[in-house]
Amino acid sequence: MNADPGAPPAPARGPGDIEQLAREISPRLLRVAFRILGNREDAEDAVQNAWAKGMRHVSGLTAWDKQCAFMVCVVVNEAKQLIRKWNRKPKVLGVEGEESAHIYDDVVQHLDAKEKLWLVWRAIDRLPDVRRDVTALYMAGCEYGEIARMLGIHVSTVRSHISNARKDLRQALPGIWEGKPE
Amino acid sequence: MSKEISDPTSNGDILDWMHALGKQRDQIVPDFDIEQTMRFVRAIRDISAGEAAAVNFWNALTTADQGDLVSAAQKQTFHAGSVLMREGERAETVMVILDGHVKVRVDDQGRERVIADRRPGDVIGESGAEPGGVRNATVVATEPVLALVLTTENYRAFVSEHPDLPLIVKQQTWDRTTDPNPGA
Repeated sequence: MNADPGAPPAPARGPGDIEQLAREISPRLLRVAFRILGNREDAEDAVQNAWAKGMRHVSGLTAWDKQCAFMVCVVVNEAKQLIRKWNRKPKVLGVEGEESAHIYDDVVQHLDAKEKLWLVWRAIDRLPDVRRDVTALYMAGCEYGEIARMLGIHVSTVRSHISNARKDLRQALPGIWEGKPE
Repeated sequence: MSKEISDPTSNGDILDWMHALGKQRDQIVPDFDIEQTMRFVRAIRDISAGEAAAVNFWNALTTADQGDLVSAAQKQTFHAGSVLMREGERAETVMVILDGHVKVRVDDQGRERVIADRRPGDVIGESGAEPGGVRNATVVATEPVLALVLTTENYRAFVSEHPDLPLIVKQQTWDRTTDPNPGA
């Protein structure tokens, strides 16, 4: 992760630069993917798929921050696609190691929790572009400031998107979403 | 820790529940082997960098098609000397080589004969992809290989969704059969 967004490296232009960019930001991308997917194998898959799909476009972007933001969005999208695949297979949303058992227990305690969570992801997919990415990153456990840095937008914009996403999702998922009082 | 996470379906806000779950996961992010990802990135970059010169399956696809292919496939690595496909066996997979080289050989009256050398960007095993198909050649990695592996079923689905694909495969098959020095 670029610890100092005030002094980003030059954007990737050539083949060598793509490798450098990938080396610099893949740890961040893997972290985001893991937060969403909860397991190593799928997180690596999501990031590699994202590079395959985004490589050509990302090298045409003019700023390092924009390249990062673009790749974060591509990874989030790939992670969602993998979740979509899970929904066709007998796999649960969980995490690796011992924690997975606890969280799995928590999830399966509730009837069709997995399907409900999938409905939430599907509803998020239908949000407008930036709101969708902001919401997905929030669901991945990122704080407002972190999301703002990753996507190159203001914290207040993140807050606004999350607030609007709550309203949108509550409307989209009336049977599932109780929603907190605003 | 997990007990602090509330029921996503009864405590109101799924968004916040997922946020809390994501934060939990952030505490246990494993040490990823970044080199696996880097190998993949370099492989994709290098195939695309040779785009102007190399006519192969991968480069003949659009960027969107390449993305679809990657999504449909599993990534697999093979050590040098590994047999990726064996002549006479039932064909269950089709592969696209991303990195490394393989030799394609057949049994010619008890003697092995190399009929092709496949390299990054090439597809292998597609000729046996029809239902019930068997391998008509053995494919051996001559160096470490990284490949996209599709089940024959997924490959057929991919082909049916991409009508231009058979022509690309036909062209590669033609190049293969007319290669004057296939073992080189």
